Amino acid sequence: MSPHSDDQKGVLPTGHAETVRAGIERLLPRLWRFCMVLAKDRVAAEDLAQSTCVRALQREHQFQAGTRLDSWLYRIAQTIWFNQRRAANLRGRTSGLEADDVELVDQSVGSELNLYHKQVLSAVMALPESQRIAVVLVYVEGLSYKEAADHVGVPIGTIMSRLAAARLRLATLKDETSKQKVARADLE
Amino acid sequence: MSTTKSFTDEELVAYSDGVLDTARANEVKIALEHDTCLAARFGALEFDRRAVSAGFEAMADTAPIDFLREKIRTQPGQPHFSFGAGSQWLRIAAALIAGLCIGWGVTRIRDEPTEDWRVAVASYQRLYTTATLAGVTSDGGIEREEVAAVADKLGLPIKLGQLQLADLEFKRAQLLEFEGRLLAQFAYLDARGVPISFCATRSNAPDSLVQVGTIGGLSAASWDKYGYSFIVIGTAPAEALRQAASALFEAI
Repeated sequence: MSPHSDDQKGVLPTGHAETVRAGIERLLPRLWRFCMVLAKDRVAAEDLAQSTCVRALQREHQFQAGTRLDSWLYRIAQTIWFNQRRAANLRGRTSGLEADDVELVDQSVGSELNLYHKQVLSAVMALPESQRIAVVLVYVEGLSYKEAADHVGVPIGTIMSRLAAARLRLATLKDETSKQKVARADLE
Repeated sequence: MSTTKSFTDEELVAYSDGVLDTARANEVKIALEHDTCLAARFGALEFDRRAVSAGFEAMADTAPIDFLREKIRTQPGQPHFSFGAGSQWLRIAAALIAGLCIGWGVTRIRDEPTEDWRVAVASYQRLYTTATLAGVTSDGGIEREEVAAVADKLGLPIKLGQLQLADLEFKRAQLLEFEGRLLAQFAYLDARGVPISFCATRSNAPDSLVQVGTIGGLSAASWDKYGYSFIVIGTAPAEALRQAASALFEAI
């Protein structure tokens, strides 16, 4: 199921500091992307990715050689994000933006295919957080159901339920989009 | 048309993803050929995985890589915790130097902390034996005063009651200093007389949950909360330290 090779997963032969550092550098685009999935805001994702890198480098000795560096980084990012949000909630602040408010992909690259991908991306980003994370971990990052369950800290059945719920919701959104297109075409 | 109730949405998704076990997958496959309701349900779970991948690939292409790479390259790495075989003298020397610096309050003058405080704590903790704390007799009144004084200096609202842990005997509280930062140490002995320390210092680190690892050959459980970094450390089994850390995480 995994779309990523061992190298892309960041499976490292040793836990040597420079190896971890190099592995993190290689994974930066995907780490930032996962931070976007959590934060839904470019600036917040940038801050979160930066905090994650700092924390990971401080704790590189805790990384177990032979395991997935990408999963380890995502767990750190998720822990930081949830703690930050909890602290923000305690302070009475809200966080998180609606998907429509977010510049998700490069708008300068315009094509029908890109537009479709952007719509799909927006639909996934509009999912409830738990479903969004499950979809990204399994279908984008290539984690197995069990790996995703371990990552989130829930039973495997919960991940399967979230995936099923997410897919039903995405199908509904797709239907609505199609109906809107037909309606617009009829008006024209 | 047969019933559609025998397969859950979760099973249909697992079938679609190719991870349903073979026997059950065959059942789904056969049922889909004859059961229009099931086929409709399956269709409703259809998912354009390639489009999702492509969308997220496009997102990754917009990552601020240069900015993040620069941040990583300027970030100092973790000092190496483990000493190689045959470097016993280096280990002892490091422990003694760190112990002197912390234990007797020698402040090194530096603008920024250059060493992870937890490494220094590990070095200091390695100097502890059962005898270090065995002579400290328990006196609730004195302990309360010690904890109150240390908590006051550190600015951490903490009381003796929050530090009482199952299976660990609280021995004393003392204030140390590391690279100009105050550091509270709360010392315990477990039932076998193994010394364990719970330490806290101010920190800018974002909140984090308890993480268990090894520092300087000692088991350690550390976390960050409300502007402080905490660590429980000692030669006791990691699970015992994790339990103690979890209890303190909840209590404080």
